[in-house]
Amino acid sequence: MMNKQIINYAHKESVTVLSRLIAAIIGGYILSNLLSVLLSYILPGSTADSVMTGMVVSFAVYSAVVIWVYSVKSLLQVWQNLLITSVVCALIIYFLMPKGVM
Amino acid sequence: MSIAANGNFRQSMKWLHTWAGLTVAVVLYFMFITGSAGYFNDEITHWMKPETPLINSNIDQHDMLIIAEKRLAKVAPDSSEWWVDFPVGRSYKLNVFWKEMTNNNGKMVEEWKDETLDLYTGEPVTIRKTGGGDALYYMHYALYYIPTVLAYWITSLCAMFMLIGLISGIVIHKQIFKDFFTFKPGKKQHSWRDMHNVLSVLPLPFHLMITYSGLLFLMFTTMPGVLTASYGTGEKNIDRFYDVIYSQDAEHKDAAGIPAENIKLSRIFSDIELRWGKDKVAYIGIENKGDINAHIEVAQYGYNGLENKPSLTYNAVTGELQHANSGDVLSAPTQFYETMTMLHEGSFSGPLLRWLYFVSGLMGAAMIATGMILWASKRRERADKKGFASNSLIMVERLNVGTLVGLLIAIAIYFWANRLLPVTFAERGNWEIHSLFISWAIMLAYPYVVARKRSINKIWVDQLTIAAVLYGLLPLVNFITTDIHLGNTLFGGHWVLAGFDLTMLVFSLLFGFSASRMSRKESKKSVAVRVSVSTRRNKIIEIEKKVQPIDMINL
Repeated sequence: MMNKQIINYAHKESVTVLSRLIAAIIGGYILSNLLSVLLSYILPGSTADSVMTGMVVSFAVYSAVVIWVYSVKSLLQVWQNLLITSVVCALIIYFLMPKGVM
Repeated sequence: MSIAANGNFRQSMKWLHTWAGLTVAVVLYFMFITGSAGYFNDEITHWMKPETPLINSNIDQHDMLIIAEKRLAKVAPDSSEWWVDFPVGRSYKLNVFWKEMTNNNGKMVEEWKDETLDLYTGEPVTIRKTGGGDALYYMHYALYYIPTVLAYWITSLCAMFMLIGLISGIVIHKQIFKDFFTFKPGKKQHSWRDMHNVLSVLPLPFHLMITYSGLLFLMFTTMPGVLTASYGTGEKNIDRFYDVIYSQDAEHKDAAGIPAENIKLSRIFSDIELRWGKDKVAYIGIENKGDINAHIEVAQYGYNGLENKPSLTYNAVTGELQHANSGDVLSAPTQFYETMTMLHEGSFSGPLLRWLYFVSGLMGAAMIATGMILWASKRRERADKKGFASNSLIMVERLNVGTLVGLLIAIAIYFWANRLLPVTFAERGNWEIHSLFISWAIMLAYPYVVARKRSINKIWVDQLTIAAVLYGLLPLVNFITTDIHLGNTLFGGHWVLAGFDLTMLVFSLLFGFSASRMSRKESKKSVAVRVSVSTRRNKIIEIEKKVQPIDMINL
């Protein structure tokens, strides 16, 4: 009985660790890409320069997202926020996207 | 331990720091060690190509060019492209390159050939095949045995972990500046932590720069999203981006297909020397040779700040100057990208700065190493108190030795292989590298196979001793197998080659010193136990006289 509880707990624990890891690495990668694309769209100046800026800051954005994922207590909140922000970004990008790209 | 569920921001950063660091520590350590060696890629390659003729006297570049041009005219008269590399700065040999069209199953493919020339005879010299220092530099970001793109993703991911490790490390570290000056030696876990702190904090600007610029280097592979979102996919679309970012040189005309007599390269050399002074040329070459649109390119050796010094383009038919390139004017974001990647490579640095780069890189490796050791030593202390060490702890402790010292041994083996593999062996270049990885694998396995019964301390001593011996004997092996040994290089003033051997000796001393310290600690520990046993026994005897016998198990 006792053992089962411990195993259950450990199991749950590793699932949350894994979940947060995926949120940070994959969720963070997607969100930082979206944010950087968005940045490259709204920056003034030539397209090439904005793209370059978006790319060079993308890793800073990525790190910020990872740090954020690991600093929020509730895992549910992490996933919720990741999802909402990503969807909102994706929508804005969809409307701002120059013609002929996709 | 739960991640962020209990505890504050700093607590969760601590967790993140530990795990972000540990999971990729092995790859990162490999990247830092081989990358540090990469700062001396040319110098290492020179040592690994001992047949390269030493340049003793001051033959001026004009005479070298005449030699090179004569050779090229003989070996590649119909080639459409010739290049000559001069021994200037870090470059140590007179090299000629040319393009050859070869028939490959009915399809003409271009192939580059190169030769290193002897300055006295003008003839090419046969040089052993080797990966040289460039192989170490290359595996630093492209690894080995796996596809390049996959390797880029792996190294970038590890670099990302490193960046997270650095940021979270800064967050958990309140007294970041105080720790510049903190070191408490001889206190086991504490001294490991202090060492880890010092090695992280002192070169922190370097760590941040090198990690971020490393990520930027590969961003076109790993972060293509931004580019795609504005330019779409496909090579043609992406080229539209590059065309804007790096303005294309309009001066380079394609071959017109009309044959024309070209001037000799050496004819315009006086004009170059008039502009730049003597012996300043890094390379000179002719493109579209034999065509009416042929042109000659010359680049100066040296750097304007971070960037390459200017270059000149001459018309190869008339000999007049077409274009003087004083460096591209780049937009701010591109300039940032360029500056970061140039900082990463440090090609602009002279000997002193290059050593500083090398040492900073090694400090990065040492930071990772001490982090790994710290993790294990913390748990070891706890385990010793409990009197029980978990399997995972024992595994990590052993993995640490095989990783940290094993890789250094493997690189020594790489140099040994360069001297010992037969020069005529066609596959020797590859086998040098195979021997590196085979010996690393052996060193990783060693703690589990050969030394299963030995204490972890003894395994450290074993491997450090092996490293000390291998590095220490390298100059001797060099002495036996080649002419470029210390006896010749030191007195001939060939500081690069002598420097290699001397550096190996310094490494050997460092490893030997660490080994002897660790073995002394080991014996001190047993002496300490013995002393305490004997003093206690005396006490016990005294006590025994008065009272009952005492259980001695706990001694």
